[in-house]
Amino acid sequence: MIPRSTISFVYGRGRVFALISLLLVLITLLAACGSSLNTNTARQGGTLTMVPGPVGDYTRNFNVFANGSVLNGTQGLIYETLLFFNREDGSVKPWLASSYQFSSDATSITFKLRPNVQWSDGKPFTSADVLFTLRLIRDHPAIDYSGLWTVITGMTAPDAHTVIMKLKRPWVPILWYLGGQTYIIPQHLWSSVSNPVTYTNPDPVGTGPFVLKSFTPQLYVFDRNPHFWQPGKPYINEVRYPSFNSNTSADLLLSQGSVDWTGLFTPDVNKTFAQRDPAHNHYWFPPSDVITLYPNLTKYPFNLLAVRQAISAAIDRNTLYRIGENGYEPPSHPTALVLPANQSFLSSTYAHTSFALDTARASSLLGRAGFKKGSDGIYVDKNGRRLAFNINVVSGWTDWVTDCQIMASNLRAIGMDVKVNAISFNSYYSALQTGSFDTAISYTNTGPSPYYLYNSLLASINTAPIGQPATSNWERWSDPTTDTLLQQYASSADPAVQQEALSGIQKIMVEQLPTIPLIYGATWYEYSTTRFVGWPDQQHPYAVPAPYAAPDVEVVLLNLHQV
Amino acid sequence: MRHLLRRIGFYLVALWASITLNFLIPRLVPGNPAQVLIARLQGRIDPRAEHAMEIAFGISHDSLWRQYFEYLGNLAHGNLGISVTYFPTPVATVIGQDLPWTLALMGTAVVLSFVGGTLLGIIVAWRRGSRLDALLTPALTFLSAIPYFWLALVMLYVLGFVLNWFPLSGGYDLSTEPGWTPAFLLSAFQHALLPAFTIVISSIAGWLLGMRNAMMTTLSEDYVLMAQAKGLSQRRVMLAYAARNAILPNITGFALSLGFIVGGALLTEIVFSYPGIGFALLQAVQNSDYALLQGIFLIIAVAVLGANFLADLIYVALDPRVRQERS
Repeated sequence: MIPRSTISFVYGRGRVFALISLLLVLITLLAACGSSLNTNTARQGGTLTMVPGPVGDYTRNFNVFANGSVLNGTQGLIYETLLFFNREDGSVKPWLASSYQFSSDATSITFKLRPNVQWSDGKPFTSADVLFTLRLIRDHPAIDYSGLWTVITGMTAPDAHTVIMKLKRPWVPILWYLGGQTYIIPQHLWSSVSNPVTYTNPDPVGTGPFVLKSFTPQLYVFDRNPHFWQPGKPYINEVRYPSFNSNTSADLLLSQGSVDWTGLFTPDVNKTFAQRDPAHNHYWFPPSDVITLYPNLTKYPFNLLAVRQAISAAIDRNTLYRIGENGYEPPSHPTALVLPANQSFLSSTYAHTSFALDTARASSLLGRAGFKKGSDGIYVDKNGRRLAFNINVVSGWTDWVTDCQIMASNLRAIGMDVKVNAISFNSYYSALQTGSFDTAISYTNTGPSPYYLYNSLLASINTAPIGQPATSNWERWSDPTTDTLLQQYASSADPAVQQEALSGIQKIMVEQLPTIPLIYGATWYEYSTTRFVGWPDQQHPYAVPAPYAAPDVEVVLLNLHQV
Repeated sequence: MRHLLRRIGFYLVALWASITLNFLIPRLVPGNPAQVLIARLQGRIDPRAEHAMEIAFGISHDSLWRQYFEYLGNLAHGNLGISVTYFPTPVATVIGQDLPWTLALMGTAVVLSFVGGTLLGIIVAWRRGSRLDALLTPALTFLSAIPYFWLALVMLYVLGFVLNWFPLSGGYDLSTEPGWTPAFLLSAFQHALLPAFTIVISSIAGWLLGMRNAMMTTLSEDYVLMAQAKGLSQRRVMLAYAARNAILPNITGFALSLGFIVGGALLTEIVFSYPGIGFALLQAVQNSDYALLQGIFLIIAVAVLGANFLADLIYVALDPRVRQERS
């Protein structure tokens, strides 16, 4: 996925990067990391400059609840979460909470908080702050982004460093929303805020490693927080966020070496960036989610498994990867697991499965399902209905439009009359939600384990009848077995029971193709080792490496130190 | 005087009409800001958040009439609302921090371009057929025919990146503190040079051609011939007889472009990452940010009407016919 916040003409077409240069980059990556992980040599100091994306001028908005418009860094560098979930490998780390414990029936969670944490104004951080934050979310549905209070029934704090959350029903996945995505704010400062939804929080006070030093619409600067709870950290003195309106000038500055860390889509990144200084300029675009083709399962012929299988077998995913996506977004695994991040959840049955282009199989599948080619070379069924349909895509999302054109020509070649329907985002999105489409290309919603993707993609609770808006199960997959497996995962804190459920859903995904996984969406991440080392990379995937990823940006900055 | 009053009445009606259109047009576009935000974050936000955001953004399901009168009431109180793009920052803050940059850059560039282009147009027309006319006119036309976006990118790459004569991006050197200090002003000036230069280069030909062609017509008028026959100085004939009569269309054009200055220069702001209101406007359109859209359009409407009014006043001063006809 290419970030769409800028307008389309800043994107160009890149060329497939050469294998040799990739090797070169890998070698230099390895060389750079050998030294970087030795924390004994971590040097204190330095100013790091980062550009998460071209968002234009800033407004002084450090309201940590304003998802999507809050300034980058507020979530993570200033305000922190109870736990840290590494979405690149599925592990959970204690953060503001030193431990968490589910009750045996998974209906309550006990968080033990670190005793030595202070707010950046020197006041102690206690369980009262956690309760206050959650109460604020309860009282203002406008900031309850993940529907916490549809599951939580109550909470108590037996002492200053213990919080117990009670749930309506066993629901283990809440740990990610509650522990990994809820930022704790100080009661002593926010209790006087009349409306936390519209409060711009101009002078943020948090527990994180940095504090606000200065703000202008063109630049804001964070300083190290002397009260930070991890001894000796952060190593970096100052973090600068200059504003940019487009990729162009940020790219030039990155090449020039005055920016250390960006999250930009750059065509032909190897040539324009990495090769300019192979020793220092690096990039890593790990998969972030799965781009899939959503078939409308309530419509003929997509309700036929054979047709879905034939479509899947006829799509040349390698061409999507090489041509449509500049060689940045490789073909998806048939289980729709985001690999390698979800590797530990992959069922052994599918360890060596991959999608393969097989037009002969596609033809035989259609033949067995009773389709015959008509005089115009297009398949017709027994009742004479032609196999003709549209693929919806957003006009202007150029990479996806190219992908759809490639798929359409793939499918026409085996005898399906497929048209690309490029429309505005609003029409596209409302068609997806209400189910008035044939097929559409779109993204998926991921989390620290495959459950989150499967739940939003396949759970019947996330779908709706045709004509009514579905949250995320747009293909309208409604299957009791899938729901039971999702429920099995959600109601048990036992990894073995959870894995059994995930393996079951992987089988459904591979064998029944509720949607047709295509390629992976990418995380954009370019960095320079000229001034700082300790970056995440393929060998050290310790956090989502994009500078716009929260709260991962904190974990990365705590690892970085001067050369 | 009656002429002026009539004009003022006309401007009031025009202002009301533009305020109403401001309100209506964004609402005719399907979709709402919560959906757009979800699209922008592409799976990085839980789909269930749409509901939370609809509450936060105050997405209204009231009737259009009700919304319209609320909008008029808020405008009367000077309340422009809260921007969704920069949620929860008030629209007035967003406009307030971007407008000075736009006014300074675009104001200077448009005035320079108008004055330069018009003067060159007068001279070129006066010496029509000379080597100056044969070189300058096509050269500037050629430059203005290059798509602006491309011209700006090439200039940025060559003059900024390769030759390193100009800074690459931004409105000032980020190591200086914004304020009325010499260091900041100098830095802001340096950063404005290249963007302003590209705007002037790409727009000056329009003024030059307009002025040159209008001059050609007036130069063939009898009164110019008579002025020359009277033995008036060349300069007086050129400026007071020919140019004064020829400049009227250019004045109208200038007034219009003065009004549109506040709309910002989107492409300039994008290429040079220059602060300004154009990019905020783009963001507002992309994010279905009604409040911000309305706020910026309001400023543009007021500025365009104000500039036209100014042009009317200048017409009265320049052209005696306007004064006499209406009395």
